[in-house]
Amino acid sequence: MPKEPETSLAEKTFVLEALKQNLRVDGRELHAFRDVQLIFGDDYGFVDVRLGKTRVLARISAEVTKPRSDRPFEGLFTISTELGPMASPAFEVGRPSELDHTISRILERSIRRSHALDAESLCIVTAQRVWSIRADVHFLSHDGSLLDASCIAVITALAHFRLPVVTVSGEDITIHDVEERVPVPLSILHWPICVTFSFFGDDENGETMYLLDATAQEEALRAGDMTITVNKNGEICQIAKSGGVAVEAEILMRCARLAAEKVKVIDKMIGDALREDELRRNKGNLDWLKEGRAENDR
Amino acid sequence: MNFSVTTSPTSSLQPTMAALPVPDIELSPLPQADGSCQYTCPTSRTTVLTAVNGPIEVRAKDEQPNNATVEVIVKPGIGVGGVRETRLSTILQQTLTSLILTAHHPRTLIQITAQILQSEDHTNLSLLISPLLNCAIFSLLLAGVPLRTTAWSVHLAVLPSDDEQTRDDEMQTDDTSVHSANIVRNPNKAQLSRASSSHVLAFSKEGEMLLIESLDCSEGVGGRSADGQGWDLDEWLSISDEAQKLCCQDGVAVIREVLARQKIF
Repeated sequence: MPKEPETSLAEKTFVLEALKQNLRVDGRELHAFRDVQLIFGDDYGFVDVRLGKTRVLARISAEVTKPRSDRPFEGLFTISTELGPMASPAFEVGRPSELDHTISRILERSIRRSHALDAESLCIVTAQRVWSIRADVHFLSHDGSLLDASCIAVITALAHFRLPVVTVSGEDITIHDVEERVPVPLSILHWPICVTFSFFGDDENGETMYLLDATAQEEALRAGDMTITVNKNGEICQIAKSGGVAVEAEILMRCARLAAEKVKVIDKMIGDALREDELRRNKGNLDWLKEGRAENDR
Repeated sequence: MNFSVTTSPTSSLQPTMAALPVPDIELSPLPQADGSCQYTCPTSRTTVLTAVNGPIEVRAKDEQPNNATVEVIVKPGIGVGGVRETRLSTILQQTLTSLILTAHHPRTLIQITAQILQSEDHTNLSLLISPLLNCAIFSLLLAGVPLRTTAWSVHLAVLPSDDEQTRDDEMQTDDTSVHSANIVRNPNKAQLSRASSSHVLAFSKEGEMLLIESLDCSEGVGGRSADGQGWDLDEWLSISDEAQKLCCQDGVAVIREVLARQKIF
């Protein structure tokens, strides 16, 4: 099957030499993100994230199932990621690549295991009926930072999604139609955001060079990478650094602080985009939202 | 339920057919693919995205000595692909293979990837076929894959003549008495649930029939003939005529207009 075109020696030298002079091929600052664009669909829980030429789409769906017998109070939450040939012909169907595994494992650790979604709030009848939330991540176009983009996509989609209202009377449950009762947002405890650093060895002064939001070209040339997941409170949810060039502790601390800074900006951007979409949907009336929160008694 | 469809659809069905809403088409939304297109059906709001890569290297087991292999992958918006997606990709693969000049690129692969973005009902195949097919044709054109001709596909649904809502719609047109059965173009989910039959047809620019997917939707509504079919031959022929007219005139006009707008060809 086709491979990604290999970077030529001239291209490689050009990019690396430019980096040593603090220049990137696309003219960005070393630690600048590309513009993040969030596009919401007609349905709740449908978000299309564009980060430069990278495009990732997340869709949330919910169904009622039986909980796991060892966790009768908790709902289910799964994240499904699959890199298909749409993002790049180098990705084959049904044969997950290494990148595929990395993305799904880090997303799992960042969002699911950091308890971003309150699993207990998904319980309808203990040990019998719970909501099963599914996040489908579709990679449409690959130009680097797939992980950062997909994390933003999943978190935004979760915050955007509305769960139908359920009433329980004895053993029977009634799922109310969207037209009948206003659906409620999910109970999201915090918004973890992934920030990936790409390392490029030492510059002339012997300092490790690191980039944020690398493009596909930069990713192909980097000497190592590290993903830090932080929420807006500055709490680190996970750090993943599998292999690559060795990084000093001081640089690592600097990265973590930078990540926390970037996450605050992204967090605010997501919040603004969600509010704007809500205003568009409800023609400027946000009052109903206050009553529709999942945290309130129903 | 009695359908008496006139065999001259051009005269009787024209009023309902007035003003075909133009689909929302975005060309080349994906910079990495050779050709790509995003298509939103104007009435059912079904949104699909297709990407074409090709001719590229083919797996040894799929290699054909004299022809290019055409592969279609359909990915659903929710969940993992199953029987439904395999069925969709088979329909698309067969229809598109008949359009592509596969002999021009022997021993290669033309890979068409389709992603369903939004759909009112993702379990309903007939809502998806025509957007997917039209979108794939745009992607193939943009990827520069040699095609024998262009084609267009429409989805037509027949609503029972006593359908209340259709009658309301018809009030807006001047001529209501002629309609004995109502054909709806690119129906949405609500219209489809009231329909007695639904037909997806594709025609090439020259009027050659490429695809027929006719379905009896009369479950629940109550089929009208003993064999459970939701249509008879006369009715089907009038639908086929209507579809051919739509594909060869409106469809071709849409393709021409969209490509001209982008100043591509």
